[in-house]
Amino acid sequence: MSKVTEQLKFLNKISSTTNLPQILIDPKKYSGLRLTFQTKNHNGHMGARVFWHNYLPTLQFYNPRIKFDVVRIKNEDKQKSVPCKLEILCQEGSVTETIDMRNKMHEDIMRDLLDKIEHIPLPESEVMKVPSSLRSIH
Amino acid sequence: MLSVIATPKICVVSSTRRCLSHTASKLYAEEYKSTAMSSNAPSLTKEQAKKRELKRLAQRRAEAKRPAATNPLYMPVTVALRYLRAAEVGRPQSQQTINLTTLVVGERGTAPLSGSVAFPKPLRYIKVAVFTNDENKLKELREKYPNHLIGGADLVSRIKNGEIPVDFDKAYATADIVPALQSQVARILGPRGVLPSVKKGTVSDDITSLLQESLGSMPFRQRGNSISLGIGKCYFTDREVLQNIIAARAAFKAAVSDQKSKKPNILSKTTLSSTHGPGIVIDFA
Repeated sequence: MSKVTEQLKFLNKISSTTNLPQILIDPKKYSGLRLTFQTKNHNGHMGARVFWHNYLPTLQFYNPRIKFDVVRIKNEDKQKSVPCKLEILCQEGSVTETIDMRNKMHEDIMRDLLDKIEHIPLPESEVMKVPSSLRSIH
Repeated sequence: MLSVIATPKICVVSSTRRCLSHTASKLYAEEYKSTAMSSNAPSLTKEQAKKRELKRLAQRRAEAKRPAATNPLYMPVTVALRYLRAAEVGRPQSQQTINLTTLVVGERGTAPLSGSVAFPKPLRYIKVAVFTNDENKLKELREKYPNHLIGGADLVSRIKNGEIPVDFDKAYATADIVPALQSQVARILGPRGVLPSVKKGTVSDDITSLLQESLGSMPFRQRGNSISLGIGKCYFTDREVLQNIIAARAAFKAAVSDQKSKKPNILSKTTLSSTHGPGIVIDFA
């Protein structure tokens, strides 16, 4: 795979090939999402981290006015418990809904989020795709 | 009779086929060997090397002249910023720097481009170091610029010992302290491009006016074949980033036109990127 195709794949992963988070959230109703989890995977924090890595870029891409905060807590101690939660913030900044992300797969977290947040699925005509058919460079 | 002949014919064909494939792989191996040989420099004569360099230069020139929109990774700046912000989501603000890289095409041996950009929206506070042995000036400058690094021989020796980190972006000096700087900290400041010198215009006895002129502008310098410069943060608005890009473009072009060579360098492909994000080609001409 050439560098350019790799790059196009990366861009398309953000804007078109990741389907689940292609939603529009009303910025008049919600101000943002706040994720809190560990930097390390132990105690069931992997799903949260993968959710951030796989789905948040797409959510941010189609909702530029929503603020996404990620708080990663450094904790090496496996005995200690660290919160692993996703908070939905309303316009005034207070928490309206909380989703527990511990021991869940990233897809399940996304489905939980879709259940709890009011949204419109993105119309197909608005999906942005970077054409991966190589226009010639030379 | 025919049938008798036909069978060996098939045999022959199949055997030659096998043979062909066999030799092909051998040939490929030989070819591979020869290319591996040619990649070693000694097998190229001087003339050939020169020819190759000229050819590559011509290719790079041609690429520089092609409009940015023909590149598959080209995007308008506003769309590019949307992608970069998405790639940077959830990262600490200190890591969300957007940077601009411009390739420079020119013949070998031309002086590297350098200059400074005055950003309408600066990324951060620029720290300056001033070296002087003049006590009165020291006092005056310390009162005027309390946040900057100002000192004399004492400061030089502390930088030499590593007590003070080299975190300033620019340095100025008066002529009386230059020998001390060159003998003691040239090896520390030189590679970072913050060693005051007469040639650069950063040594002067009238330091106050020099400082006033240059505060609030960010220096840049060509490294290898490109100039790279932090241009904004992800939380800047599109307008602010665009204004910074325009300022950078003006400064880069001024640096090119200031060049005193017969064949000036030209600016080529320009990419906008961020700390964790992809590089996206933008129109910079």
